[in-house]
Amino acid sequence: MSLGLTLAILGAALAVFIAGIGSAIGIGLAGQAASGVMSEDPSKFGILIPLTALPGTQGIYGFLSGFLVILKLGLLGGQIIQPTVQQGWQIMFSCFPVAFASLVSGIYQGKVCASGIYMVAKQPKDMTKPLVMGALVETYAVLGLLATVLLLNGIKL
Amino acid sequence: MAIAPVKRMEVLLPRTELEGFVSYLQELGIAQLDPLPYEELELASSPLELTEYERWLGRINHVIQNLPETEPKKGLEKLLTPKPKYSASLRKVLLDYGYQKVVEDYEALEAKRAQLWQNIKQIEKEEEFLKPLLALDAPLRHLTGFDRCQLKMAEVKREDLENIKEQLTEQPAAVSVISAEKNLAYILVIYHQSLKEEVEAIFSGFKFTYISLESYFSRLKGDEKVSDLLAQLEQQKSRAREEINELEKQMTSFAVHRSPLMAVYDVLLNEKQKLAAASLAGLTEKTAWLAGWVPASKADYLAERISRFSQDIYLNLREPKPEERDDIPVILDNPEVIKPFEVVTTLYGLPRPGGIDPTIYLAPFFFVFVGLCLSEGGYGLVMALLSLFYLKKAQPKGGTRLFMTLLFYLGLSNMIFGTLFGGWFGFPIKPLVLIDPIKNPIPYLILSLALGFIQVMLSTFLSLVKEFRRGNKVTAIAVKGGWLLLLPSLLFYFLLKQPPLLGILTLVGAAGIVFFSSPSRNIFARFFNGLYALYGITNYFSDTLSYSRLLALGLATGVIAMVVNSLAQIAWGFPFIGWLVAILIFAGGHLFNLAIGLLGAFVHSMRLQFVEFFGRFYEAGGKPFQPVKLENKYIEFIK
Repeated sequence: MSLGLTLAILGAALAVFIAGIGSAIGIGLAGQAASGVMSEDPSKFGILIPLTALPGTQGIYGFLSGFLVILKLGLLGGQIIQPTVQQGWQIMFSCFPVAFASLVSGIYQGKVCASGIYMVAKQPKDMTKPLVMGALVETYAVLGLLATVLLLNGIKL
Repeated sequence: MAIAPVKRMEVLLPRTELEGFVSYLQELGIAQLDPLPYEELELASSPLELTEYERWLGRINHVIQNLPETEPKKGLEKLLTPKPKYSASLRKVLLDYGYQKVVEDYEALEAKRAQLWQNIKQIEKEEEFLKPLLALDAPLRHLTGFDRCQLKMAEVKREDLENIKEQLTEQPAAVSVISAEKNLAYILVIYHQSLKEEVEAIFSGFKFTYISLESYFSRLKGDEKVSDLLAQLEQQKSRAREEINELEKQMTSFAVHRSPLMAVYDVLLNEKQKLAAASLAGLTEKTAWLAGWVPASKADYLAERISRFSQDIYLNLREPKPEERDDIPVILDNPEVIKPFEVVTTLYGLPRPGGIDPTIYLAPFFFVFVGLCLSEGGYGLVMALLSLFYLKKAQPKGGTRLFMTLLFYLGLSNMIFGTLFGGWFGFPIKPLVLIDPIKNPIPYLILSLALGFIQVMLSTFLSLVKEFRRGNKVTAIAVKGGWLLLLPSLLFYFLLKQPPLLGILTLVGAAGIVFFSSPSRNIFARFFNGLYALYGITNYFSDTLSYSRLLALGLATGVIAMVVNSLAQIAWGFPFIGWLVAILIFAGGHLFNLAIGLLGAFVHSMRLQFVEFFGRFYEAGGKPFQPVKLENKYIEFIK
């Protein structure tokens, strides 16, 4: 396997697992808060699920970017493309925006959602408001994803 | 359109008719009652006594929750069954149902059952105590003791057993092991009473508990052994169990009362609400004074109904006074097609009285944005069908109905935009696809930003309207109008080949902003403040860029759908059960993607409305219109 291909695969791997870490920590924080609230009122399960799941999207963005790289390299079948070393580096760096923006945004969205969950515990009717708060944090993961997609699109193999 | 006008309602009536009148208002459901400034008006207010109602509501609810349904329904079916309908005129009749007796009888049975369970627990404890002694194959009355000998039973540790036995047999004492378990052993010791101290000394060297059967001795009738006692207990237990069964049969027979009780619950709930509403009245010795709000469109109807209800009621309907402005409740009034989008407005907060209702402006954008964010025709079809099915089957009312209709619209939106920019369950319909965002993201990005630019321009225009209505005509035209001129001109100046006309228009707009943004009379302050206001162009820029999320989110659903399909395809190749695994992956994967994608699409489209769109012109803070009406928990009242 050439160095170029290896670097590109490293990029895909970084996008998936760094963004995944962000989501895992984020959902972890929100999930703990949700379980705490449910220990008082188990019937809130339904309305707490969206808030708990919200920090999960960052991991999906990372996975999505990794998948785009896999698709670009033709790793799913057919002819595997062998990028040059420069192209390998380019692909790897293209994966950075989504990886790191998702890492931090996932963790902080988890915190915002956890607070939102405490809010829903007291104001069950207002469950959409903390969702919008969470979406404010998610913006930067979305922009990271966007940058990664545009960068990957710009690299011609 | 937009915000419906309301009228102030003032009612004077004899105190004796107060409750009847409020009850009638509940049935009409079109008037809101406000508390009066009692002290200012030197009126009495009636003290509120609702605890009795609340207690009964709690008790009835408990019975309803515990009674089995006469025609049991499973989860989904239950969700889809509309509430049973009762005529509102039946309210008085339902109160005569004798619910008190039913509830009390049921509670009595429950109490009896609880007592029996208590007894069974007690018996089980006793059995636990007696079981190790089962091997004691002697009538209990022989164990009461002898003239010169002492008889002791004890529970000791299994590991100490041999040791104790050895030490005791050194004394002239008879030891026999009744039973031995893994950790514990039960022994019987007989010794001459002169050896009492020695035996006790031996015991005290170990961990032990004496077992006394004394409580049983008085109950003995003949030669009962431990096994007989246990058999007696078993009998008592099964008798108690039978009684419980009998009680539960009786309790199940209460199921016929379930639906009447549900109706009674709602009637009582409304009686309670009625008292709460009536307590808002100001009282003198003979009269009561109520005040509140009615939608102007229903004012005549209300007047007509009230004059028919009773001749003794004086009703005054008038336009709200300026000082009452802050108390005016806000009713959104939009055409039927737009109405579901009120859900989005209401989530942010109702507009202030006299403000702009943004629903009609955000509706088309919200519709398109959710479609672009999810861009999945198949998911759209699923959403549309499910929401339609729910609407038809369960016939929900109020907020739920609006939300479900909104979901139906968003499903349609996805069927349109999924076909144009995405696919159906991850499979694009190639000839119909306008832009494939995976292969060709740039045109999709431009589309997103263009939509964003249009919405940002619309929000600027609405802020112009707002300023104009407030009387700041110069600011409205020069500054807001300046932006409306500047931004499109600037955009097309660069997009086209820099025609000088657009350049001039840009400068005219900029001049308006620079010279009219600041109210200061000092020409320098005015100019530099104006320049600073011009710097606000960065906000317009970043707001428009924020719409790029439409591309990212649209891509996300599409790619995940593709991943699901390729995984399913791989699984298809497995031997024997490949097809099953493939179907499971396909169904589960798409369901997951639908849930996550819809959440994202909904939340981000909403954010674009709340932050990017509302920011420039919208002021929330209106109070919702809350008419006194018949509330439903279990049933629905009809006219």
